[in-house]
Amino acid sequence: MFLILLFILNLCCGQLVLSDNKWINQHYTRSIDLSKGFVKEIDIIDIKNIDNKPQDVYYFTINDGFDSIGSISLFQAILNENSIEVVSEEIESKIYKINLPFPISPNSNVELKFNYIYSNTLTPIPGKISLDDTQQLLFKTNKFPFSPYETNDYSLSFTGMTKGQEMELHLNKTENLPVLEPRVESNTLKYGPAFDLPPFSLQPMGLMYDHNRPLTKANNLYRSIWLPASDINKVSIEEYYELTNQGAQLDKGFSRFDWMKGRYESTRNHWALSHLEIPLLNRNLEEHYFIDKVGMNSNSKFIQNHLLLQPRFPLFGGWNYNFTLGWNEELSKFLHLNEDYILKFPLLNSVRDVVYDNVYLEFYLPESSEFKNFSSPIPYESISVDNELSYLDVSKGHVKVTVHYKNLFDNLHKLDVYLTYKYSKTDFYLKIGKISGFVFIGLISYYLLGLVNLNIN
Amino acid sequence: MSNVNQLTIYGVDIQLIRTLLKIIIFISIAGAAISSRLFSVIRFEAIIHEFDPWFNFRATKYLVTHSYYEFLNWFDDRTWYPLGRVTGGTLYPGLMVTSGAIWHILKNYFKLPVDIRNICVLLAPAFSGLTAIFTYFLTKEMKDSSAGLLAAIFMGIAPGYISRSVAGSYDNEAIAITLLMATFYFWIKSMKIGSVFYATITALCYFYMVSAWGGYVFITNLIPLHVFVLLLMGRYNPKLYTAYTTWYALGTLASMQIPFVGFLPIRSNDHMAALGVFGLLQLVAFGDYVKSKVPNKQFKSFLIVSVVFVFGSGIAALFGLTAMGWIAPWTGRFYSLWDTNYAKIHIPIIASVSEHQPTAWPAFFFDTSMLIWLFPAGIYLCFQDLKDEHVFVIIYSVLCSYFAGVMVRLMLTLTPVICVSGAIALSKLFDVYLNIKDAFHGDNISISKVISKLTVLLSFGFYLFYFVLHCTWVTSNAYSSPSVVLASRNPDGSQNLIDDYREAYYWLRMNTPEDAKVMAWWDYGYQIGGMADRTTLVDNNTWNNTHIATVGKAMASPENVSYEILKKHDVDYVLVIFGGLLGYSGDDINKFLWMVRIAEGIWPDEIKERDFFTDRGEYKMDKDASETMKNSLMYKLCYWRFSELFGGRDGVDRVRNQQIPINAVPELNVVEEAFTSENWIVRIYKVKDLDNVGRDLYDATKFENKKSGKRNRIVKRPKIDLRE
Amino acid sequence: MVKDKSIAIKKAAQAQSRATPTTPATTVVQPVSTTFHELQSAINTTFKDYFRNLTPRTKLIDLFLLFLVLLGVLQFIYVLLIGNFPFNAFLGGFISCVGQFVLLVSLRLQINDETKEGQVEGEEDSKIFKFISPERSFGDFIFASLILHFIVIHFIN
Repeated sequence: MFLILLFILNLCCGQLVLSDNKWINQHYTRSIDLSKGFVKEIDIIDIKNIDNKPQDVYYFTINDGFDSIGSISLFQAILNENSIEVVSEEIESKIYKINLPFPISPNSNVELKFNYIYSNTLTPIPGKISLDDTQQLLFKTNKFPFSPYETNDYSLSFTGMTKGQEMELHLNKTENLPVLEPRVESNTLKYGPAFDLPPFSLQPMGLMYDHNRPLTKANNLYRSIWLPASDINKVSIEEYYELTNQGAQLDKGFSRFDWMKGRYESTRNHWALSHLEIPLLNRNLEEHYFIDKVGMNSNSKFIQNHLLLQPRFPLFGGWNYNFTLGWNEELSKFLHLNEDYILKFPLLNSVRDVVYDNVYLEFYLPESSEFKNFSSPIPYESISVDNELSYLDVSKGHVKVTVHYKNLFDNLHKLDVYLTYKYSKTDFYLKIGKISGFVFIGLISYYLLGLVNLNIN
Repeated sequence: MSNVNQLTIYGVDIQLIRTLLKIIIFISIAGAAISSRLFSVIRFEAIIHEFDPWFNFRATKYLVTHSYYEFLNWFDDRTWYPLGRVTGGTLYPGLMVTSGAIWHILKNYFKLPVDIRNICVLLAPAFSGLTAIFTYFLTKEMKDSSAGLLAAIFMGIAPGYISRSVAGSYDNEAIAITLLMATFYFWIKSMKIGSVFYATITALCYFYMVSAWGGYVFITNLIPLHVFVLLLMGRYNPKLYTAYTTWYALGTLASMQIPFVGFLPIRSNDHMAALGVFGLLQLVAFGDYVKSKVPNKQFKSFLIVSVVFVFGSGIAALFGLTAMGWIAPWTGRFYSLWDTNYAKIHIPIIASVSEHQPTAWPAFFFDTSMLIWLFPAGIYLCFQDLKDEHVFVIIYSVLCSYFAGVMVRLMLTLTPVICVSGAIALSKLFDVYLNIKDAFHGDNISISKVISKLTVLLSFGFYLFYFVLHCTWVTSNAYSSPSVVLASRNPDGSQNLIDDYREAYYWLRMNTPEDAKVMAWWDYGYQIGGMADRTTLVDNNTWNNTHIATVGKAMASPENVSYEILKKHDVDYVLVIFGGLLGYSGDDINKFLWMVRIAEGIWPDEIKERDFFTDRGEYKMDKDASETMKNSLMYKLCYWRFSELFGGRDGVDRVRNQQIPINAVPELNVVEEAFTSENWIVRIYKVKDLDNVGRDLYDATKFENKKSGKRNRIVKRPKIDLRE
Repeated sequence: MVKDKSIAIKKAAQAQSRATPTTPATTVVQPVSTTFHELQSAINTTFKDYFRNLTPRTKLIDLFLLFLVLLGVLQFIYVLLIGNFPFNAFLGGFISCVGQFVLLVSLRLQINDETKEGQVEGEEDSKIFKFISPERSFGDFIFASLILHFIVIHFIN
């Protein structure tokens, strides 16, 4: 049975010789954070070269094995001792080839740390609940490491939840795996240690836990950054969100009476999405506006350095809310002029606890500027440059650089992207000259028309 | 002020100074007119107001996203489900085309891609500035430019006009009044100098007016009436012929270009007076020609008799043609102008609109302040100096005073003439009392003269000041509410916005299927179409009375009857407006009687207004409410779970100040609550599907209620609690 | 001289309709022949006057007027006989005739006003169209006609 499974896996993995036994996982520690609307997993693996040659390639597979993970958001491999990020490439879906910075000689160890986030994985159980119920989520995962190498010593821990129960999932599993019983230690649910696990150990497990917070997701986010042409020290940012709650749905229609009775709006712990929190840190949002397709939404306020946005109605599972948030910020914080302009801009706004399916980062460079380069710490899907006509654009229009990202999550707002472009003073004065020229021509022609009229009379 | 021809001040020609001053005054008048209309934008936001503007806005959006021809052939299947509406052929496109044109010009020529919504919101204030300028010119033709300036400022800030032209009030009237003034000005001008050119301009303005507002019929009748009265007064001259015939020929032809108007100008009775006068004028012109050749003393009597003869035969022909069905009889709205009770008896749907009600007396003062008593004085002055153009003002004022008394809405057409004649009176007064020359030129300066002048001037100065205050106050308090958003004050004085409409509409837009059909009373049709973007059954267009009555019947009937109607019309959601929690009086319970009446008009056997009153004939919602009332869908939808809010005591309906009993909670079987807005103003219910077990929905509800007691079965499993 | 005939017919019709009012209560029983005489003389004077004042310009205008009247009548007869199927086409054609007629009459009035000036009263004030020079009136006429025909073309499609 096991062999068959392995065989299948080998087929799946194509050219990879994953069970080449060049490495062994001496210690494999998985810790999974369930405190947010997405899953954050940190795997620390102590690997040992058991081959007789030095090795610098290690294969890492995401701990899945039965398609339980929706989409991987960010994958990071780090050498644990000096926190150097290691180059990794996804050679196939959910399989990463890690190129170690230096070859590891036979029989020596190195400790690797893998960070990754997955979204679209949690499902509410039951799918429809009433207002006063507590939302429970089902997290499905592999109880054992899904590594192409053998594992000596393995442990698993879950954090970020208060109450949960394990559920057995009757799916394909590897035979003869040890039985792991859960235990609770300092707010952590722990399994293991287990010893001497074969490669690709698979035992699907479900963890049903209370999570009375909304699962906020932005299907699309259009984040536009309008860079001014003149010296005005202001950049205007406009973000259009298409928000949805992936959590549990209401079993009946929405009853305002029950909602009022339970005072759910004022509690933070309810699975309906009634507030969006934006921590501002050191930022200063000037002239912010919060609008949607029917006009201004007056429910936004600053509380203790947080911007609180309140959608027009609370969002239960499957409900949507589209809105636009715009503001101005000081440009000097982001823009530096060397030979070219270098813009350093955060990838995301710091909305708390949200995952994004698609993010379109749109930079509107001044008219007739030249886009040079864009660099991002995390990979993006595509980049495109075109023009868009906007206010007082007299030639081709603003240069618009669109960068498309997929599967992001809230914490990535700490990352900055870099954009270089060239915009000279002559371009600026040319534009001003053109505009004033047009105005002048207009006035002159008006004057001439007046003359013509007089002539006829 | 007077007779300065070559005077100079500091070497500058005084005429130049005067022109300059005039321009500055114009700019500030336009500024005042526009800025006083921006209260709502400043206080709320740039949002479309009321009901009809939402349709205009939606149509404009359609126009700018589609081509013009698509717009004219627009068949809208998202309204009047399942009938649809031939929108392109049943609207006055002037307004949409205007803002669409402005949008294109700004975008393509000025490189200002302004959001179409902002153009729509600010169109009315911008046009009000133009109105002030045209009013100036019109009044200048009547008296002089100082009266003109007064009229312009009056027009700019008179609440009667502001009521329909605040920012966001994107309605046909917004540009129609401007065009009304323009047409009248050019008419007076062309009539005065007999210019074909000005008459053509008049016709073009008239065409624009026709394209913009159904009220163009007013012009169609007023100008012929003016001509006719002038003829009766024996004031025919070739200028009149030139001006009128040119206007009529061009204007009529042009007005037929509007699809909605079509052949009405030669078919409907509303337009026949103009045709009659046109024919009459031909005869008179011919008679005049003959007269100039044949000196005949008895010519005048001949003229009058032939006029009577022709007029009589004209009317006879009119009746004949109407009887034969060649010419459409007058429309219902037109009848309701003459007989105020007509609508109430025959067309409840017209009477149900509050702006079609007769005007209350205080409204005149409220809308025009001191002008209302200057108005007769101005008319008197017109009589004194009875030139052709004054006849026009007199006719206009007489007609409009009557109309405004009949319908609140027509206050709007009265306001311009009030402003014009008020300005004439006031400027005459100032002419007399501001004339300081003879006070000082005389040998002895008589103190009493000076004092009397000063008193009059000061008091009128005060009145003017008060007028401005009044207008600003009225505008800011009465006319600047978008009615989509309501403002209230918190106990601490800060402003609290009640945004329930948009909350609910947006909920519909975001969380219901794209093709969901929403049933609501017709008042909210345009708003649902505009904000929620969902299909509606009826809307403010009210072209199909039966369809509206169907909705009224569904609301007024017991659940089982309603359910059939709902299912037959594929209704997914039912939306009601309920103000009982907040004390918002414009809610559906207050409109309910109209629904009942309209439904009764079609199904007198099934819906009876009497049944909805208590035995003592009161309209009550409390424990005395009649059974029919309590069983009606409307009652149930509004008061569903309402009393529970009051913690075991009877609920208090704050609009009607009635106790809603806690123990008689309405039972809902065929619909379920889907959404209720924050202040309960909008309540949306989802129509249940037919039960899949084949049970009656009533049994199903009962079963559910029983079941819910033991529903909480929990499968025991080991629980892991992390918080030991 | 077709034109004269038609005018004569018109005149006659006019005169007949005038016959009733010109005999007011004072002279009820007047011999028909005298009335007829009066009429004839009136028509004659009108004619004479008309021809005396006829300049080539007005002649041209009058010919055009007559043509328009005939065209209008022709269209009307066509509609009566054959039916008004493309109603807007008929309406466009008919109204263009009427409109052009009216505009021409206006032009004639304005131009005639100018020529009359010296003979009849001579004072500046008596002139009806004192703000309008013949050149301007012709310009106006062209402008209005252009608009008229533009709309007509648009109407007929």
